[in-house]
Amino acid sequence: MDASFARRSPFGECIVHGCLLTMGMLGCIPAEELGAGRALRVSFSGPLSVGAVADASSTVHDGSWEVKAFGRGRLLARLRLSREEDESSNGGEAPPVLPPRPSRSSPATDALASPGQDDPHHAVDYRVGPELQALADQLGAASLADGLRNGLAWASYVAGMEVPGLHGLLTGVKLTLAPAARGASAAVFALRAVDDRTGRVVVGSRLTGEAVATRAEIEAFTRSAPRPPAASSLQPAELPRQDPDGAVVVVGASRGLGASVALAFALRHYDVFAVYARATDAADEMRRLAGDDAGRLVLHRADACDPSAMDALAKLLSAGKRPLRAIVLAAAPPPGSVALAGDGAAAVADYVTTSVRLVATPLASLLPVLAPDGIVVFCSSVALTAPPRDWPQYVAAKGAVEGLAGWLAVANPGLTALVIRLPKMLTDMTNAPAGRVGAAPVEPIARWLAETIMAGEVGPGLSLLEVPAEALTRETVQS
Amino acid sequence: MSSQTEFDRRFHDVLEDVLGWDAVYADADGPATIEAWDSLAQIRLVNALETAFDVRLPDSALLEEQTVGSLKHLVAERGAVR
Repeated sequence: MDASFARRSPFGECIVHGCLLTMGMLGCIPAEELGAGRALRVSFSGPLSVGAVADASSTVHDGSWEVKAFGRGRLLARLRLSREEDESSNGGEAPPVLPPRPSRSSPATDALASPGQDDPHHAVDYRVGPELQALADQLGAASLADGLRNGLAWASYVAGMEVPGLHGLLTGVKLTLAPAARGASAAVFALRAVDDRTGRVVVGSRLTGEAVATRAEIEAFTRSAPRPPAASSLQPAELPRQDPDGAVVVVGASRGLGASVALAFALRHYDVFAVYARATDAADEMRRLAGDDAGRLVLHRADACDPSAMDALAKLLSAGKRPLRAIVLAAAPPPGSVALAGDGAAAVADYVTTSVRLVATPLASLLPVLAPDGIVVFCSSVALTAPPRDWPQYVAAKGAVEGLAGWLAVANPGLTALVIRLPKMLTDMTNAPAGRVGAAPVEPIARWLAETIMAGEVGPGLSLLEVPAEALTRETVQS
Repeated sequence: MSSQTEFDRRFHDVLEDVLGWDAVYADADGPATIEAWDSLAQIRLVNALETAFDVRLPDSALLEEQTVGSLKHLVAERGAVR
């Protein structure tokens, strides 16, 4: 429930824990059927935002209950509760275990090692509190078997606190009940598989009660911790003989491409007004990364959707020593995942509205103070030419942004309206299983953009550029 | 049970786990015909098939849109017995 942590996630906001959503979905099943369940499978497809409403439907087939939860026009999660029990014994030698250690009070943040065949199980002194039954009661799942209820909480603990931990994403849980084995450790888990391309992990685990053991197989994805720009990858090959006589505004400058572009310009001796809404820590980090050029970086906290805040920024700029040469409009809401069905249409419209606001509001205030031959950079996406199936809202929003760029070129013919169709980049927004595959590092793109603008090769009017291949293949050096 | 039948059964089990239970999946099915088949589901499918059949599929399986049939072909191509 940490809002600042959530803002740096691909969702951009706090989301409901998967196992909590599961408990609520189980409340759709009649109590006597719920109590008869001995195996539970749940699969998560999309996040449910805190405070949002999900619609659930339930069906029964051959004694098994299936519940689906929908939100923003798409399937969020589905579960199957069935009566089959795992009759196999846990007899024979117990697997090797480590001495139990206390359960974690804060989530693990370490990178995972590849599992080896002889990796031991980890034993944890994990205890279920009475609050869990109270929560189940509240959500309509009071009659769920103890082993399954406790197993859900255990799976949530393992995924959220142990493996993958803080930066993980839970996507599936399979729970089965089995007779408890004598002498078995109470709560154990072991990493079974890791995929270094996607970050997928599979964890096998067991929670043993007095009479019943719960086997839990957990599927989750690791994500890398949000990181600041690699400043050393943004340095110019050589500085111009004379400092550029100009200032640049970057809107959306606390992370992602905006942060890297702001730093790239500061390192090239522009005065940079880096506009950000909330991420104060990230903005402060940029000052550190700018090093000797920190004095050229003005961190300006303001809501880009707020006209009065943008007007105040314009006043600040017009009082500055250097003319405003460029405005980089890099702010955008996190895409999420929306289907154009059901209540998804409203989500699409809302997303487009916010995206346009983040471009149009700063533009309205800053255009009067932009140099007559200035440049406005509109951050669009190659998604317009190859629309991702999951992102109708994102494609519509980028189309609207490009439309504004076209208007600007006609209404202000002396200016340069530069539309950059960006590839998928490794940013907080794309730090998700599907997002990171094939994503390019941000820094080479930011460096290319800054140098393209400095070179002055893009003339007045509307220009549309895609990032050239050579800019995508330069190595990023970690700062 | 013939190897073809075993292959199909294991393949179908993975599809069910990721995409939904009690459904019939034809070779032509993919993101256009199956609601649950989004980019995340495709990644989960590829990873789950790799685990189930002990194969490693090419990165194109993750990046490019697939169908049930194309994934079956990729899995079989990498030595999983059909």
